Amino acid sequence: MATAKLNKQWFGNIRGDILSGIVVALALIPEAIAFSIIAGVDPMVGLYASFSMAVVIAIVGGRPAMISAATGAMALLMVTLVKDHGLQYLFATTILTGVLQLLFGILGIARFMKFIPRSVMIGFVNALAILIFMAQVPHFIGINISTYIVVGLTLAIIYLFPLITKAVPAPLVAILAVTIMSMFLHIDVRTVGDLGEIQQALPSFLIPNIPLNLETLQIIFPTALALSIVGLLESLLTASIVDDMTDTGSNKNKEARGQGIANILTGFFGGMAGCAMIGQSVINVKSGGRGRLSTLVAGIFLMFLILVLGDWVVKIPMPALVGVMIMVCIGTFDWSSLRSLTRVPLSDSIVMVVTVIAVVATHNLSIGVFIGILLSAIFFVAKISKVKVEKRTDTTAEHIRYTITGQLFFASVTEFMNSFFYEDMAKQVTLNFTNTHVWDDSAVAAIDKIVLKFKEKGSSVTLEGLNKDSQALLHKLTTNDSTHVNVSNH
Amino acid sequence: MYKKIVVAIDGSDHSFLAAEHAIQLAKLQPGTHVEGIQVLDYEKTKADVLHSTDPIQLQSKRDEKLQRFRDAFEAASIQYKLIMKHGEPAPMILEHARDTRADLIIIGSRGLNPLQEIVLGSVSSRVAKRAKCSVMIVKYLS
Repeated sequence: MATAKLNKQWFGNIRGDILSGIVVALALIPEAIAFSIIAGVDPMVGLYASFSMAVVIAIVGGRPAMISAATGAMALLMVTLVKDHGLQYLFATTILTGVLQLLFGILGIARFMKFIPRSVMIGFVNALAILIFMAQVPHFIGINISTYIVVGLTLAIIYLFPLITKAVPAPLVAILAVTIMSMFLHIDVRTVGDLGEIQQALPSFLIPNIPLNLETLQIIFPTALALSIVGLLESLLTASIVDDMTDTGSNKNKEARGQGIANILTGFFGGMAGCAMIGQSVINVKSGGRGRLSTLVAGIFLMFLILVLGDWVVKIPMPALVGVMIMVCIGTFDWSSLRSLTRVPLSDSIVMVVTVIAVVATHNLSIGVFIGILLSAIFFVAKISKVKVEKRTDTTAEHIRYTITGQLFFASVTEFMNSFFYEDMAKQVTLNFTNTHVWDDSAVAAIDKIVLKFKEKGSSVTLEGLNKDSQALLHKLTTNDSTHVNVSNH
Repeated sequence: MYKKIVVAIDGSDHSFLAAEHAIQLAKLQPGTHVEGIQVLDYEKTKADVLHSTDPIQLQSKRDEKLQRFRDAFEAASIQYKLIMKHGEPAPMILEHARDTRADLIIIGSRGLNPLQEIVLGSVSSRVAKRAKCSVMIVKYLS
C-alpha cells in the first residue's frame, strides 16, 4: 500500500513531470542568481542551493510537485550575517536552520499554522514583494540611462514573450536575449561580475570552517531561527496552494521535516538556506508537474545547466536581473488584497498593513509576522471581550434576574462588574449564565465579588445555567464557599 | 436537438446568462443533460488560498458562488451536473466537452476591448476556434 502510493508519487506522471521539471530548471536560473545577489553571495551559492534543495526535497518532502530552492524571503534574512561574518557562517546558519526545522517538524508544527491569521500571511507576501523590490533599487536607480532601458527591455520580453510561446520560461529568454545584446552592442551596464561585494570564491563542500563555540552559536542562532520560521511559513503556504491546484492533500509535518533535512544537506553542500517557492511551484503544476519526479528533474537539470552556463553567469547585465526581480515582485504581491482592503473587517486591514510596515521597517519578515500575530491576538481579545448584562425585575421587585451574554475572562471582567448596581433591595438575585462561558480565575473572582456584594445587601444569590466547564472552574477556584452560593442548573 | 450541453460558469453575471440559455435549450427536449463547468484558474489559486482560513472554508466559498446556478437548474428541473476543475479555462472547457461528448458548448462573452483581448486572451473566442462541437457565445448587453 505504502509502496504503491510512493510509486505513484514518483512515477505516476513521468512524461509530464520530466517536461515540467525542465521548464522549472530554466525558470529557476535567473531567480537563483538574483537571490544570491540579494544575499550578497556568489551566484553559485544560490544555484548550488537550488540544486540541492530541489533534489533532497523531491525525496524527503511531504508535498509532491512542490519546488524548493534559494528564495528571496530567505535571502533577505541573511544579508546582515553575510556582510558581518562571511560565507562560512552562512553555511553553518543554513545547517542550524535545517536542524531547527527538522525539530519543528517532529514536534508537529503544522498544527500551529492555523494560529497565523490570513491577514498576517497576506501582509507577509506583500512585505516580501516590497523588500525584494527595495533590494533592487540600488542596482537600477540613478546609474545611467542604459540601465533603465535594459530593465524596461527585460520586462517587455518577460511579459510579451508568452504571447508567442509559453513553452520556454520568458524570464530566461529575456536574460539570454539581453545578455547577448549587451555583449555585442557593448552597452554600458554593470554585470553580475562587476559587483564588488560578491565573493568570487567557489562554495566549499565541507563542514563549515568556523569555531564551534558559544560565541558562534550566538551569532548564527537568531538568524537561523528567523530563517527556519520564515522558511516553514512560506513552504507550508506553498504546500496549501499546490494542494488546492492539484486537488490533493499533503503531509505538512513531513514537509517541515523535509525542509529541515534539505537545508542541513544544502548547508554542507555549500548552499544558502532555501524554502518552497510559490511562483516556481505554480509554474511546475501549470507545466504538467504532479509528482516527485518533477522536482528531482528540476534539480538535476539545473545542475546540468550550471555546468554548461557557469562561465556566462558573470556576463549577465545587472538590469536584466533587476527586471526579473521586478516580475517576481509583481507576481508575489497579493493585488487582490488592495481591493479587499475596504471590504474586510477594519482590524484585518490594520493587521495586514502593520505587518507590512513592521517588515519593511525592520527588514525582517519574522519580526513582522510576530508583530502581526500579536496585534491580531489583541484585536481578537478586544472583539470577544464584550459582555452584556440584562436586568429583569419581577412585579414585586423582590426578585431580580441578570442574564449575562458574552465571554467572561480577564479582558471582559471590568465591563462585566460595572454592569451591576447594588442599590436595589431585592430578596432574591439570580445570575443567569446560559449565554456565557467562565474562562479563567479573573472571571471567577469577579463573580465572587458580585455575589459577596449582593450578600452584604442582604440578598440571597442563585447562579444558574452554568455550563459544565464553567461550573468546574467555579468549584475549583471559588473562595466564598462560606457564603453558600446556590448553584443550580436550569 | 442537443443531448449534452456544456456551459462554462465562472460565477459572473455573463456566465449566469449563458446558464440561462442552456436551461432554455434543455427544456425544449426532455432528456437533455446540462453540465456546468467552473474552471479555477491556476493564477488565482494563490490569492484564493491566501484569503481563506482553511481548505474547507475555501471550498464552501467557491460552492457559494455556484449556488444561484444550482438554484436555477433545480427550478427548471432539468438533468444537470456542476463540475469544478483547476487549470487554464479554455483548454479545460474544451477537454471536458470532448471527454463528455458534448454536442454544444455555451459560453458567456466578457466583452473585452481589443487590448484586453490581446493581454488577457478571450476564453470564448479560443473555445469557439478550437471546439469540435457547436459553440454558442452569449453576449451580455448591459
